[in-house]
Amino acid sequence: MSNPMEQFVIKPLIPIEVGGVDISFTNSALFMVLAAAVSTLLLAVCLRKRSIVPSPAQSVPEGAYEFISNLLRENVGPEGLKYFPFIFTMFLYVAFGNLLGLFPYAFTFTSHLTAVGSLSLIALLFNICIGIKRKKLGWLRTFMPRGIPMALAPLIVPIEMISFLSKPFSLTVRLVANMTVGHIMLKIIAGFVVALGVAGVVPVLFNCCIVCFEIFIALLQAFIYTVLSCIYLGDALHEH
Amino acid sequence: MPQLDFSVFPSQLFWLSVTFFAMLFVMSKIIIPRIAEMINLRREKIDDYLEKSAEIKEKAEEALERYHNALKQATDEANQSLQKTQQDLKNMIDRRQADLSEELNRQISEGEKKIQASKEKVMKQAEEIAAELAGEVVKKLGFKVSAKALQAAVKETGGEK
Repeated sequence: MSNPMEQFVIKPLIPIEVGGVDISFTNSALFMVLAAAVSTLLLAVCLRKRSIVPSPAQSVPEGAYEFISNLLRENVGPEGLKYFPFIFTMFLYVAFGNLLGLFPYAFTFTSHLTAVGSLSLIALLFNICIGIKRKKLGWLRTFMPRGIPMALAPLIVPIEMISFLSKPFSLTVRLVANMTVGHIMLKIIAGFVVALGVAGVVPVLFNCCIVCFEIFIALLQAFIYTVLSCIYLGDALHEH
Repeated sequence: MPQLDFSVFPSQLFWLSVTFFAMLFVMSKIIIPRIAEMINLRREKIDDYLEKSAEIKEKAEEALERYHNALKQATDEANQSLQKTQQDLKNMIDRRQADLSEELNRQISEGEKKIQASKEKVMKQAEEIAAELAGEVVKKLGFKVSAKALQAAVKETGGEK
């Protein structure tokens, strides 16, 4: 039986090193490119022919558009629509990262702490930029909410900082854990197929069910990642 | 666990940033405007249609009101003309009736006059006949009386009846 963790190993495809830092184009990077390219191309193809009455293909990007804009309106408010492209892209990026990873022999970059962590880091920086742009120095209030006595500052400020930084961390861990577990489960059960011989039909069927479930999980986790990003964005925009 | 291998972090961060921002750029510059354009166009069109339909509805209501007004007016006019005709007819009937009764009265009184005249005439003749008869009777009895006296006598008795 092959090691179920083998699928997560990152292999450099094109070694690149800039200033002593290794930024090789890896199998993970390949699937990042694929996720971005496939989702963009899919939408572009769906939007090739546009009409007032949407064709089935056209209703795919429009459905996604309405879905994300409703998400933003509900979780951030009407002013959140300014950041629509960011959230829209994030949703599709994560969703396609998850979905493409389900193809046999594919690599799931959303199961990597470093990859999702990078995305959460981008989202965190985006939030901080928006917060500072909106509230100027008042943004620092995030770590010291109004109405708390100054004497408690040494206690509150570190707690608020940890809570602020733990948000992207929890986002990352949630997505990574879900993806990793699903893929390990698929691999382990697939390992039984050969070992059981004729009875291997059972794990095959079981795996089919799990794949369907994983497709659902892939979209659900992309949705959860996006919703929570929206909520954190809302926190950055409003007093809390 | 390969997931916890942080040596690949620079590569991951670099490629993720590149791909994510490239995608964000394409999305916000090309894809999203194209989607939004169509959705806005559709919304505008729907609003336009709704506006138009409201306009048409208003017009229809106006027309209905006009129709009701016209109907009411026509009914009023018809009623008026009906009343007038009825009045005219009544007047005419009254007039005719009056004429007719006048004519009848006239004829009746004429007839009465005629009857009276013929009655008088008959009476006169009767007197003459009576006088003549009396003359004959007197003559047969052998008396001689003037016609004038006889007539006066007849008149006297005739008047007594």
